[in-house]
Amino acid sequence: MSDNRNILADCQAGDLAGKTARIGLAVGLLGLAGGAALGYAGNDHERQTQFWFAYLAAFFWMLTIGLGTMLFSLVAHLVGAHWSVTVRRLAEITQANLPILCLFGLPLLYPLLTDDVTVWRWAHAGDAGHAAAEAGHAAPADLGRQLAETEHHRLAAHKRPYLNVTFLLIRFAIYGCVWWLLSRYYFKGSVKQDTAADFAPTRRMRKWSAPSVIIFALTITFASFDLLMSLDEAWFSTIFGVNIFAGAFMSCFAWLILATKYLQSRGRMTQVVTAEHYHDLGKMMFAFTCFWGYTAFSQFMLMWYANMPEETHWFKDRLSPAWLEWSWLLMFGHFLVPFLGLMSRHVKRHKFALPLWAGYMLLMHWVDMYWIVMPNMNPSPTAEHNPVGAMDLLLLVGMAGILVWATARRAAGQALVPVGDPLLDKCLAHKNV
Amino acid sequence: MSGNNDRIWGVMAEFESVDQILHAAREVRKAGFTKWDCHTPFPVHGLDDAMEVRPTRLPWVILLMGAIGVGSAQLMQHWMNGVDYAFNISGKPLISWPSSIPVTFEMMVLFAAFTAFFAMWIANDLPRWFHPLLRKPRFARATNDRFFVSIEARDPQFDAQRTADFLRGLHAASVETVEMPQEKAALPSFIKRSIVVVTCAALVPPAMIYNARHEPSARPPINLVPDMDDQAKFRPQGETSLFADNRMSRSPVAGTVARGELREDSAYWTGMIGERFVDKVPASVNVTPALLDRGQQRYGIYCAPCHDYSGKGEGTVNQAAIALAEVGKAAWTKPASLHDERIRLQVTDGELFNTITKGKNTMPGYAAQIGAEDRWAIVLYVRALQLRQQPAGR
Repeated sequence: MSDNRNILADCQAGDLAGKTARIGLAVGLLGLAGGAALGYAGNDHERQTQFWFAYLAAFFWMLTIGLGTMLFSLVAHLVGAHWSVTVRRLAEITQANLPILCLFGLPLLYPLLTDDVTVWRWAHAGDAGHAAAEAGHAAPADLGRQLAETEHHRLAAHKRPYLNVTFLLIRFAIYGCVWWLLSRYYFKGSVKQDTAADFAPTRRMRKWSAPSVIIFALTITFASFDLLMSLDEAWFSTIFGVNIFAGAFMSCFAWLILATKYLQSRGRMTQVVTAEHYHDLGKMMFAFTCFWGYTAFSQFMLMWYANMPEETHWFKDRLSPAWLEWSWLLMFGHFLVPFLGLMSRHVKRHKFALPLWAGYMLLMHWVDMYWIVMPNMNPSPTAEHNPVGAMDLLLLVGMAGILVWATARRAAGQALVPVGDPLLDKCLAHKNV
Repeated sequence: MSGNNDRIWGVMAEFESVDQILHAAREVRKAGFTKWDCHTPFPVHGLDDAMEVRPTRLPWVILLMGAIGVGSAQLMQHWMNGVDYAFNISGKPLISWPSSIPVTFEMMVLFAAFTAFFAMWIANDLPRWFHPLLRKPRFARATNDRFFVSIEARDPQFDAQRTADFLRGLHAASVETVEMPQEKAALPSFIKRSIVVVTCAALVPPAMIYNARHEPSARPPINLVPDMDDQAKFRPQGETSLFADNRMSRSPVAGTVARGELREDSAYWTGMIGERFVDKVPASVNVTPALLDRGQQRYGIYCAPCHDYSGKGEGTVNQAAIALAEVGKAAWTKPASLHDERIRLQVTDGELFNTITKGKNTMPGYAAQIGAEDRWAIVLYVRALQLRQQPAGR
């Protein structure tokens, strides 16, 4: 291990952490404040509603990156991976902030608990739901549509025992606690290993990694059901959580590539992460881009084929004139283009190409979140107005800033690489055949 | 081992460690040799770089074949489903990309994987039955704990003596000249005989199939699993010597009714009393809003695909079938509009029920799918549909 001392000398964030955190915080607050200002400037109720939808999309984008890094930390222990040791600490630092990231979800309680704006229609179902049902009966709409609406309300009523505000708040509290405990345990354990005399902390983390992954899978699945899928209270897709997980895990690798590149450009971790490690990060990003495409298409095709009104309306809204281009953008931009672009070994080992793709994939992950969330604002198969604008992008930039701030803030206290990890030597010598 | 007529194939040098072979590879490369190779018991990191092996073009071949797989899968499915055997599946377009993706994916993987496998064989000159290096006893350790460099005589720079000295200078543990035997060994006769036998045996099944297709036979078919093909059980309409009337199908014993099969209320079960259709839904059907809702739901499942949700007879199946009929791929009678004057005023509830039960024209009977209660529910809903389409006051 003493051979590594030179190599590991530059694996401390030092004053870079503070500087980066300040920039992140400034960008984050400016972005969020700018978004809020645009949303609430004209006292336009439609605009305010859009603000909360866009906030949810941006928040979930940030949250899934955090959750992806948590899974990465868990899985690294679960499988005893050696290639990822030098980048694992960055993931551990990012996921250690999940409780802080979750705090930025608290503002969403405002549309959930008050009747000022409606994001989750079912949360205001007491009156609004009945009004919609009556509107459906009064209008001489075509009978197919009316049948679908009847079914919609039947399903919404059927889900009431699960989908009610009280139980939802209880579940939020559970997710928060689980994430807080897991993130703390895996961050503290890894830091403890840096100075520990034996490998007991690693052994403990390994022992708990399997149950942790199961618990994690349940929380990310139900969190995406509760926050995103329930935006359309009648719609259901059992693969939805898997699709969100695929996007989250893919974003985690994009995030790690960018974070490592940034640190290396500032003279940190220069010798511990080589083209070999980037190659592997790129492979994982590529793999989960494909997996995302696989789950997204599976979700689409089964519903398209079965053609049941209570399922297809979700996709029909997204194939409306307003959202058709986004759907194409997602299919090509999130899957086909990166599938061909990231396939080559040379791209994954290239200094500039890989981080470029990583940044692009993070943007595409937001496009995915936006596509899931936004059409629920005015769901209609004939919608023509696509609301994307400066406000939505400002919120995305703001959430990115918050993520950078929280991560950099945490990076100051300890080494950027798990210097005491039993697999570190193997990782430093790692080579792809 | 080596005969007098053998010509020199090249030289082989043995090394004891990874570092030595890496060093040797770099030196051989620097000396400008082109026809040479390294043989190691496991993949040695950095050896490709030391040898300056140019990157393989195999991935491009695989990519190309994967793309061909995608293309042929698309063409195949579009031709099969859209042109050659146009078949209407629940009103979906005949040529639609979502349904073609799974097969396209499989074909892409199949083409790419087979290409990777076989192109790798071709690129490596496999299968190779003989290699002069394999005649050297020392070379056996190339699969165990030694590392070898071989330089071939066809290299322009090769000179048996000087090349061997050069390799010795790289600290080789041993250097040997490798000979290529001039006379070629004949293929062992048992292999020749096996090839003939296997080829002949492989021709037997196709010959039998060919014969069976062109020679009608009066003999019973060959049963590989006789007791599965010919089971000792009663079949509908079958013949048996067990009963006096030789029939397998039995009538119920006179004067008995099976459980749940008592259908005395003929108006309810058939929509008829004697030879006449009943005018109204029979009294034994309990008409409630819930039953009407049930009728709406069943109508949406079973009737709307053809008759459409409004009952005009313009459902998705009808639209697709008309499109097919126009290009001569189907014969089609348009479903009746339920708002037709005749169906609205002259067809009684009993006859409507009978039509759902037994079918009419191209419409099949639905007795097997829809229970009697649900059929009456649909009749009720159809009446409600008809009323709704009429101007107020009628």
